[in-house]
Amino acid sequence: MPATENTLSIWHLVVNASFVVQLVMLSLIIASVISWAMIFQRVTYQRRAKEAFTSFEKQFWSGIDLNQLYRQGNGRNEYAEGIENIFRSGFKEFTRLRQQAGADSDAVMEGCQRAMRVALAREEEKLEENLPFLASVASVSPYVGLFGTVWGIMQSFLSLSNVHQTTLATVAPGIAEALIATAIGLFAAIPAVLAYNKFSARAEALMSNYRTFAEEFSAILHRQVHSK
Amino acid sequence: MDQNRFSIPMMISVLLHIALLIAFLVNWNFFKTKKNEDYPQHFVMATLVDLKPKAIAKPQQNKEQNLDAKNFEDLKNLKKQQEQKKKEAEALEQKKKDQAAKESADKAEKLKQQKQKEEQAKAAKAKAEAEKKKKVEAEKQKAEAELKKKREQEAQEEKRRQEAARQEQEKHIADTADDANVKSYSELIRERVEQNWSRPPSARTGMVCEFVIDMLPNGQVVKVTLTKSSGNAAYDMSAEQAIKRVERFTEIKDVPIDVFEKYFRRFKFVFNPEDLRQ
Repeated sequence: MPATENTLSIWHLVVNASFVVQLVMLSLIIASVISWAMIFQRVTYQRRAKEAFTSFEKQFWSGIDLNQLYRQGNGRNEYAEGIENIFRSGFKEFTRLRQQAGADSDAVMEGCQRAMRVALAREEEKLEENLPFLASVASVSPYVGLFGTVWGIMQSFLSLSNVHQTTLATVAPGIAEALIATAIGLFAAIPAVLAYNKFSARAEALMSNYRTFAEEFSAILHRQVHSK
Repeated sequence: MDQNRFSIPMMISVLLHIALLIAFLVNWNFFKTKKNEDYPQHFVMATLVDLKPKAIAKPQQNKEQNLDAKNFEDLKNLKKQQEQKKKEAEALEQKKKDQAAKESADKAEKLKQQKQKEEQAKAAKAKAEAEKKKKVEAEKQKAEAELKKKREQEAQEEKRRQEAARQEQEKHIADTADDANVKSYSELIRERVEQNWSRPPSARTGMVCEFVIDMLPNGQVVKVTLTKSSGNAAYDMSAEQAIKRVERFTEIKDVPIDVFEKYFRRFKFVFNPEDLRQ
């Protein structure tokens, strides 16, 4: 292979691209880096939440005393995550209301359900954190890349107007350079789309698990309130 | 804790991108080399035929500037060298002949002197014999002189023959030069027509149509007649339009008038553009 063919490498194209195209490429690469960081962060967080959910549910249905479970959580230094947070806020509200003198059972139930709803909303927020960013990267970066491409092709055709003898070789580098912008845009967008779909589905599944648990837990508390 | 949440994922992400970038930069040629293996390269060797430059050399003297001046200069030099060589060869031959004649003359002189000496030594011997000998000597000399003359004649004849051969060769050169000229000018005409041609969408490779173009010596197109259709009316029409649009082939006025009369007064033009769609 002759050495001259190597001159048209990706690197040369990127370096020789016009300023706007370079800016587009840079922003797309930054978007890609950030979205990948979020992907990794989400993966670890959701995996942890799922593991915590399975282990806590196992513990919860093992017949352990609820007071003991609550105290176990108190002893831990870490901040409570996911499912345990819901349990704790519900149970705390429940015990607090029951200790008050003239609280009737419906008011107790209502109060602890409200507390659990709040905790659920917080958990949902945590689970779906960063997903909007992934969604916008997924939908916008192809357009940004396309903008870079259109700009680059425009430039290469503008420069073509000054040339008398038009060959493919005079246009080709400009178009190749412009197409790199689209390539980078797609490179950023495709993982973001996949990640967004996956994470939102998983967050949805976890949230429905949490809600089921909250219902079950409130059923248990209801039984306790009305058994008196 | 909340601030450090993103530090590790960010690091992983940046490392991933850098690794990808390096892989791209280092291995970019990998794709290309693989592709190249599929297509074996064909080499076409072109050797410059000696006749052609010779042929173009002479008529270029009065031709337009866009024919390569340097090339022309080279060719001129080449021709000069050839002529010089020929002359040198002739001179050498002549010299050789002269030398041979001179040598024989010298020899004769020596012989004569010796004989005279002998005569002097043998003066007493019969004068008649000496006279006889002298006569023989004279005859010999005469014969030699005749031989010499004959040789000279031969040499002259040889020279004349060579001259004739040379002239013949030059004539041949001029003829072929005309051919080459005609070729290059028809190429120019073709180029001009193609420049002015707006190709119809139905034009395909392999379409050929022929015209007879009547021209004036200044290159002005007088008449265009289609002699052979390509089978596609739009194509024929567009080609004819292109020729008419050129109007005047300015290069033609540089053609020597005899060549013009011979080839371009009624010029048979084959329109066969090569860069068409399949």
